Amino acid sequence: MAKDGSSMILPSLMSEALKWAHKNSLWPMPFGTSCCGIEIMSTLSSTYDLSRFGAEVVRFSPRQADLLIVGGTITTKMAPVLRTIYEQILEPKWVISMGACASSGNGIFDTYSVLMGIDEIIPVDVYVPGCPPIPEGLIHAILHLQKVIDKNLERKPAVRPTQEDAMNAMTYSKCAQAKLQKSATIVTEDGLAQSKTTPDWKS
Amino acid sequence: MEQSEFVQRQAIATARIHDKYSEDRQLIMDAMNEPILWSTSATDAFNLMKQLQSDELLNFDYLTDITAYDNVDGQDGPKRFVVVYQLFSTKTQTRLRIKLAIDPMETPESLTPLWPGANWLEREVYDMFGVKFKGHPNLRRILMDERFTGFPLRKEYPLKQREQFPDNVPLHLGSHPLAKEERSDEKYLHDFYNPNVLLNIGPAHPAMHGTLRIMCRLNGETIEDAACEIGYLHRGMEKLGENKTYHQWIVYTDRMNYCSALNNNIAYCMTVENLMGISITERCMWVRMILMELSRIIDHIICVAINALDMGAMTVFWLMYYWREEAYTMIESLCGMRLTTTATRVGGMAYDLPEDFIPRLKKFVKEFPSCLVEIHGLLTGNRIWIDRTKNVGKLSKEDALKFSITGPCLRASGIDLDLRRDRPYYAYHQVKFDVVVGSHGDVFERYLVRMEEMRQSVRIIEQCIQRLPGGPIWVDDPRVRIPEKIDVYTKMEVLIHHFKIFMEGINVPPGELYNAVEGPNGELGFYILSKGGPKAWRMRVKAPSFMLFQSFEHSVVGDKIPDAIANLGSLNIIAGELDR
Repeated sequence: MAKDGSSMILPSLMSEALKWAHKNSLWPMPFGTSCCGIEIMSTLSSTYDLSRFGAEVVRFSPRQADLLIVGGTITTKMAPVLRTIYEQILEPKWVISMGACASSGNGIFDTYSVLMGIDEIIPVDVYVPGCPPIPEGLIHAILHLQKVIDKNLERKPAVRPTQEDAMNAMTYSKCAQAKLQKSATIVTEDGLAQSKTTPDWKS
Repeated sequence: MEQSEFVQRQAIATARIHDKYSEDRQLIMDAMNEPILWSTSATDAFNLMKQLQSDELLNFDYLTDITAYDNVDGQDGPKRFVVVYQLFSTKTQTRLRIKLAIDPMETPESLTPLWPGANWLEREVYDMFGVKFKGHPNLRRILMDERFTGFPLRKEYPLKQREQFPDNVPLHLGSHPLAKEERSDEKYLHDFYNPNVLLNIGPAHPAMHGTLRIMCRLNGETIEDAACEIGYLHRGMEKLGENKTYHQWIVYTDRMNYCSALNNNIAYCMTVENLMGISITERCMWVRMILMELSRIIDHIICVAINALDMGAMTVFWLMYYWREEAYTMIESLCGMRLTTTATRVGGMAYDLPEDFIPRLKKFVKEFPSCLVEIHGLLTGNRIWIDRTKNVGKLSKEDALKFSITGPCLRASGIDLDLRRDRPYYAYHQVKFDVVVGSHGDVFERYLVRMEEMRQSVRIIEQCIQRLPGGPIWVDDPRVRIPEKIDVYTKMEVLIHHFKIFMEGINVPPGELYNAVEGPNGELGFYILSKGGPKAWRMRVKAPSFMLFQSFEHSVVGDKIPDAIANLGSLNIIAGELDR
């Protein structure tokens, strides 16, 4: 019972039911531009059978889908199209970035026409590593996304190391030491923050 | 055809070129002893090709490729660019390369009056190098955005200089973006009886395979005019080819035609080996033939399955994908990856066949034909399938030659051309197989040709298994041989050798070569121009999908929209190799 006397049972049950419904009936829209598109097809087809996890209703219209699976290289020419499609999906919506190209531009395609990861233009919930990821990888991502939906986890933007960070990491400058000390704060299992001692790299 | 017979044919053609066409032009030979003819001026090149096209003996009636390279170092004369034309004769199966040196301000004549298929090729040269062609009907950028500045394949263009645009390329019909009042959304779309409804399909449309885009003008449901926009997956592979070593570039070949990556690996390594004059071992040759035919099967599976899926026949997709998974599992056991294999190295293979590969392959070739019988039962006599595919997307023999289409689609149009038989490489002249030829060139025949080619591939694999010899998989050539890991860890010299191969790359002698194989989609060729050292000066990929998609613009006119979907599926256009 809430303080004003009204019952909170129904709304909380409703939200739980909604979450349950969302996570078990994700309607994906595959945005497969290259190799990953073929693996998306494999995942949907007979051997792997994505319908076991309730995500088999593939919708090619963004207005009917709630999960966008971006698989494949996104070029600078394609970027506005992807952005438009993301905006057309109704809330609540989730995004899986499948494969190295969609997640980071793949490293090997660092050229004049390739976007370095879709998170430069749209937010991403789950990243799947691999080039291309095997179908089990995509299934794992969808199972992970179900957990994300279930636990109401916040979507965190990916933090990429800047050029400066990379340089500092290589030279072990003071700045890097300070950052290392900061990042050494770990969370133990009982939820208490604990500060770890500075790693001693001089010895 | 025996290889000696082919060499003889090539010699006769070269002699004829030498006698008739090389009076004031320079005739030289490339690394595989194929003729290169330097034309003297921009008009001369056009006239030369016109003569060659109608020469009754040479009969160079097929334009394979147009490309260019940057001559900034001045090795090929004082002019800045060299335009390269690849010609092929369907009569004698010989090749001829014509080169033309030009300055940036010069305009060579467009070849579109001779071969309409030159249209896109010339647009690509313009897009990448800024060479303008005189008399070209529609000289716009093709792979890059219209608003892009700079020409990426010029040597001074930085590899990583990006430009981003806020919106997609607007709707247009071929020549140039339409003015706003002409666009469908404002004026035409709500007018049901208007004979000029503009329709955009793609790039994110389920039947457009991810990245293809067609814009058409409709009268009712009939397509009256169509234009394709490509380049949504242009990743700068050719620029990367100039910036990576020969070994590093193998991984990029996987990602071109990702439905049959093994074929690309092998075709590329074969080109580099031919350029270096390496002949691989007997076992390696037969293993590569097995892998090429296996990848042809899985590529055709995806084409037929997706073509049927686009038209609503889902069962075919489920049935055929089972076999594709079987093939994937085998490939995974070979090299650790399902799609992007990187299985070959220059001079050998990354790994020899695993122990259980051949038994599994035997089981596969024994059981897979039952799947074909099943699909024939589902589709070939099916009234709906026949209605949807017969007389749809027709390409006549003449059109097929004009647009330089290749592979199963060319054979479906009635032209009996298969590089495996006509320009034999590896041991294809030692195995028995039939070349499947159609007569109409419609979607139904393309489907039948693919189905029969799968059966022929099974036949080739059976023969390969029987004749597979033992022995080493690696050629014993210190220039390319990657040392065994056990020796790398124990011997100093081998460690240094290993280090040099991977850190510096293999040293390819100066020279140039165009080498093509019969890929699942058609002629897949690599044109490598080396000026010595571990990196290529120009790495050109002649992708079959490029020419196929160009012909689509024309074969789709007059059909209905659902026919366009059936037509596109039957061409098997793979975006990765279309845009590179």
